[in-house]
Amino acid sequence: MTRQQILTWIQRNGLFFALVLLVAIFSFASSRFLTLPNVTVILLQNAVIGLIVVPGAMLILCGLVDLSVGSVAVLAAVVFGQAMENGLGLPASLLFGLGVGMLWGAFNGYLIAINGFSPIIITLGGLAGARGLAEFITQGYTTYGYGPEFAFLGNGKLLGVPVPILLFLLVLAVGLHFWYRAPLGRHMIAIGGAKDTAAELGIPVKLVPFWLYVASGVASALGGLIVASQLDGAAVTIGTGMELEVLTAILLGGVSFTGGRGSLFGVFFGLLFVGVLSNGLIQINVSPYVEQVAIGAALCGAAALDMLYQRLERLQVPIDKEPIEPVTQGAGGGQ
Amino acid sequence: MGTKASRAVTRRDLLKMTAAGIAVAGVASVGLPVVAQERKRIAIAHPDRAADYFQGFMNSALAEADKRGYEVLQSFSGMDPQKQLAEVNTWLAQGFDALIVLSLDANAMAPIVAKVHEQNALFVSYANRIEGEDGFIKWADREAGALLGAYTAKHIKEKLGGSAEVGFLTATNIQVVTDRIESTREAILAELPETKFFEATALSAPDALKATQSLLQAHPEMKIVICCTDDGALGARSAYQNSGLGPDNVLIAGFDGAKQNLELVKARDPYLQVSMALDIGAIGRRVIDIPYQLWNGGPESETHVLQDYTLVSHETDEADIDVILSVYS
Repeated sequence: MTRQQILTWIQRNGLFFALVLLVAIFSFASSRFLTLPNVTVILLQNAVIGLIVVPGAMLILCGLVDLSVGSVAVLAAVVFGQAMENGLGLPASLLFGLGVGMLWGAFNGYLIAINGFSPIIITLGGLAGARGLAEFITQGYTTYGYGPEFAFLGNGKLLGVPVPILLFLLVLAVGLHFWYRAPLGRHMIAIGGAKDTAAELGIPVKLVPFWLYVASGVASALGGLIVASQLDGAAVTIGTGMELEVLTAILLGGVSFTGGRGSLFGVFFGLLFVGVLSNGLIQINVSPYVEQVAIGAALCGAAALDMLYQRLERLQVPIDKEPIEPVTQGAGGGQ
Repeated sequence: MGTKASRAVTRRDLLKMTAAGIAVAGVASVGLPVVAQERKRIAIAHPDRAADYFQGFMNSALAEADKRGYEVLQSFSGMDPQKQLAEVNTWLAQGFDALIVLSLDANAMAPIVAKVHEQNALFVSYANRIEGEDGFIKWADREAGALLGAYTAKHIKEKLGGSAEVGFLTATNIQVVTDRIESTREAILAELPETKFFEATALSAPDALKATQSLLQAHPEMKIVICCTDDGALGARSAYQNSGLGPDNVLIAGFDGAKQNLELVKARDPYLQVSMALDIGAIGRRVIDIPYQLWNGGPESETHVLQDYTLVSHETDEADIDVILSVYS
């Protein structure tokens, strides 16, 4: 890695250093913070949001948004619960749950990506509609008690690693590949940056967002099923406020809300930043009153970081007579 | 010929329709207000339709309203105070005879009381009291907290050697919830002044799961978690179950008397041991009975109601738990 590449990475990943600072503060304040079990807990607590964040960040990179994720999550959980209650068995019930997410995502994609409807209006409609449908289906009664096989999804371990973390890391790896190594990454940036030009270049400006909405729906449904598995119940409170958590991680990670610019590594750091903050505040036993203030301050900090990020990008990096190398898609945090 | 006939029919039809319209309007203007006056309308602004107890509450209220011949307007505003105000204003425009409100923002709801009175209707507070109300139904939250605190202190003395770390899952912006948690803390401190408390914000099961996971990392010796809601207690239970820590004398408690919690307590779940249960059926009946009592000059004891909780624990008879659970059937 050349000096220029290192400096560029530093400029583009300010949040990483903020995260390191936050970890250092909490480690100093609590001896139990920087331990393997607690790091596992932090990852576990953020795995569900992490799953949804990956396609969510890709949508925002394309200049779109999905605000219905939390409601699709609860709808999938509730449909799964009802299917189990009606004796359909675990595999079929899981398919029903995931299928609901896929269909809802396809519905969003059809209206927004294919027909050009407003992503905010349509997914806000989904936010209300999917949760309303979940409440209608349950009529207020939570189903629960799905057995140990389903519990494995939320509480099981493979090679000592909790299953939700493994699923998140798998989705993140796939996302990183598409973002930095595959043509899709460049296509998403082009669609978010200049859609008309991208269309003229032959980039599928409708199909890419369509499939991203489908992926977002499936990821939301999977997230809802994981939480239902962890709780062993399809409570209608699943997914409440999830869209805000997802957006916070993405925007904190530096993805521009107008599209065309962002880093999936940054989003990962954003996700961890929020997770570490929530966990750390509990670890050091701050009053719940202070906790809300701290989270609010972090959101304001996110806006400030985004602004700083944009300004740093415009700064020239001093070069010591090294030839300028093109920044590849594979450079961490590059975009 | 055909054309002529159809013209004649059209004219006749027009005359018939006009005459029928005048007749219907006349009957409606005379008859409908009589029907409306006979069937009073009670608007119930209970926004938390997602709550486990909601359907049981509503079933009971609707059955009571049906018995008394009242019509019920139900809330669909959700947990947004602005939407709740908009919904109440819509009802005001429609007209009603009594409004029952679980107010999400007590200050914003205060001006509504005057508007309701301008329409000669009743304003009944639910859970939170609003100045100028005609009646109220509220839970004895502080008394319930005192009861739970005493039970917890007894558990600490008998099973944990007299000292313990206690976790609270609370929400600082809801008066009902802070009353529940603060009174529990006071009652524990009254008997065990050295008790250490740790707090986190969590109302729902998914939030409580995360909060308890974090609390357990910081305080692995913590054996007691008091949750401000039963839904939160379910999340805390999941966190303990999957933490690798045994259920050795763990006590998780919540408030509300939700179905799943009551069934777990009845089944003697080793983690979830207490639910501070409200009689949901009685509350549903009360919200209809309070306006009835107000219209008929009933005593203050029937119009200003403080609903008690029942402490449901492993010591409670299964038959008694079944009675509370019957509202969900």
